[in-house]
Amino acid sequence: MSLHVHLEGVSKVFPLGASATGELVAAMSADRGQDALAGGKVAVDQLNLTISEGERLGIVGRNGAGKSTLLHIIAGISDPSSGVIRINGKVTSIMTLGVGLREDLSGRENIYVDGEIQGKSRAEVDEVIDRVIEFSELGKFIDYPVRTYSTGMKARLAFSMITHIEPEILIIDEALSVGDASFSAKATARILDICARGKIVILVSHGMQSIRDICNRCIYLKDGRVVMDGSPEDVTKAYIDEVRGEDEAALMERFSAHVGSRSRKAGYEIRRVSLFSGSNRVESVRVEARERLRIQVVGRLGAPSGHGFCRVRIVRLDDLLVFQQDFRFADFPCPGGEIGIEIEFDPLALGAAIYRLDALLLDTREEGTQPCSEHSTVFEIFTLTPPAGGRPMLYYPVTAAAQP
Amino acid sequence: MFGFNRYDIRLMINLFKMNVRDRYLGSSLGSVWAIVNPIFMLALFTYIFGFVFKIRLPGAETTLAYVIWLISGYGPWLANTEAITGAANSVVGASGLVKNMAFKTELLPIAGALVGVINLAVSLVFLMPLLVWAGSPITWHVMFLPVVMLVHFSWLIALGMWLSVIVVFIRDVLQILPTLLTAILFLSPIFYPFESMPAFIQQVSSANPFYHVSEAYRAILIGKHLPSSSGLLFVSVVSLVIFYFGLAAFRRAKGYFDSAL
Repeated sequence: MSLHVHLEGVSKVFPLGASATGELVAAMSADRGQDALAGGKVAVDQLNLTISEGERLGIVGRNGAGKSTLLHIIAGISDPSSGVIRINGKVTSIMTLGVGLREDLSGRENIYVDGEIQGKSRAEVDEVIDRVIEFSELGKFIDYPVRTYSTGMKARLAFSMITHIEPEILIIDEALSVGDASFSAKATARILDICARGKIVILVSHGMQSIRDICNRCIYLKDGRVVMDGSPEDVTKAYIDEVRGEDEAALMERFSAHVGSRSRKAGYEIRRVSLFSGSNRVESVRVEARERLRIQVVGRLGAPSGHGFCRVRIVRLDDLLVFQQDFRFADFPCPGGEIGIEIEFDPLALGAAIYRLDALLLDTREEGTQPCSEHSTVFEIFTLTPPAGGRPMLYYPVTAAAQP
Repeated sequence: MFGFNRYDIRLMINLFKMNVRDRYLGSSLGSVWAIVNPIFMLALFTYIFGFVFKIRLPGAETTLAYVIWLISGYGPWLANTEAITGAANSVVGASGLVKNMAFKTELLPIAGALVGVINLAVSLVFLMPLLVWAGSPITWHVMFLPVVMLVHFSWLIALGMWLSVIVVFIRDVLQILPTLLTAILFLSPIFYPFESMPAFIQQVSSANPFYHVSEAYRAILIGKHLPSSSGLLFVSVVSLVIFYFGLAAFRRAKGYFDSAL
């Protein structure tokens, strides 16, 4: 019989007992019907899922969508409140690295302890221990107590322990990137290798790239239900688009005080200010750092174009003016007073943060600096590859060459 | 048996080894404390009850006789304390494992309770030379010690199964447990003979499994006769019933551990 994981009508309801005693009673009487758990938090809701041999399933979804709960149920760590699970095959799960690491034991002893936890005999650990130690690159430190290790060394040791599993059904939760760049690359390669050997792989990750690299099927989980099931490319794209939409709405909501437009002088108006990140054709207020950014300002002038300019300002939300430049109306065609200006930043050198973008139309014949019309919007610069240990203000595109 | 297979037994032995190591890990003398601590406690109680209170047992004139009598009851009690605390802490203490690995978590309280075997063994080994010194022969009855230990630890595991699962949801139990254990210690005829209790309390005490267990050890080590089979049978039946329902309750609740830990 082929390996498979089959879930039918699986639900998981967490008791939200008012008291600890209530939770205990609810947990112990859980299989006597749902009444005891009525009003609890539904983490997984009537889920049906069949995973067949050869499938490498990625699960995406926002925090709290029920991804981890679902993994815990399949791994057997937690029982469903209702529904049927049928699993054929030996399940190996990697949820967190370094569980059960004993600080006072040496790295080598910890490898044996890990084997004990897995229910292996000493002889079975003896078979793989040399390869584990070699993979960890800990060298002589393997015989030092783990409490003397740096965080990175601990992570390397913990990761190395899982590299010699021979999984039938493999369950991996979250990114497993550890250590410095070279070890991390090695670890990723090993995970890909393990996944290739696993006959069924179930992977939860927020890294869309790893889902696309590893998986051949992907589901999108939302509020405990599967809302999409298909190829990793399609599902991750749909997921990212939806998340982006929600994030943008949330961003505008949060900083609504900074958003708005008004005109002081009849005839002047800014109709829209749009941002386009990278090669996007759709405007978005979440733009990626180091990519190209185009800003379009479209409006109307109340007077002949010879006497004014459009000022574009980028202000960080803590009121730090980071960019300001004026564009004379005379440099742009404005038939019938209509004007459209596109400004391009390539690449966008600003660091990840939230900024306000002001566009102002000014008339030089006017006294003072009161703009005839102004428009403000908020946008966020994000990066998918933040540098470790800091938030630089600029990603300036520098070049480096070897110095003889 | 009870839904456990050979693989589980091996895992339980591994967990037991881990418990023993963790119990004494980090202290530079390590497992030496497993031996020194019980001996120190035994010496302390010997001093207080033997030399300060000068308790004499009927029929035994020497202090040494009282010391032997005391240790044969208090040694198993040290095992009770260790086993019950260990089992109660077992699931909460291994929360990292419970939340991240799929295994039969019901093995944890069993492995936790078995740690008490160390204290019991130390006390028994400590007792043997004293018996020889007192001129009290070690008879063939000691062959029955393993049977008594089996019944003893079935009882402790049965209690531990319940405690471990309750503690996951109600941590307060861990706070009251030491006090409760001390109360049981003094309410059970361990420092004083059963006969010196008021008559109606004797009747209540005959339902106390801790009493039957310590009586069984004393029967073998001091009385030189076989322990009361009805007493041991009573403890076995009580243990089995409590264990059976405890295991069922544990298995029902374990699906909710990850949200409670």
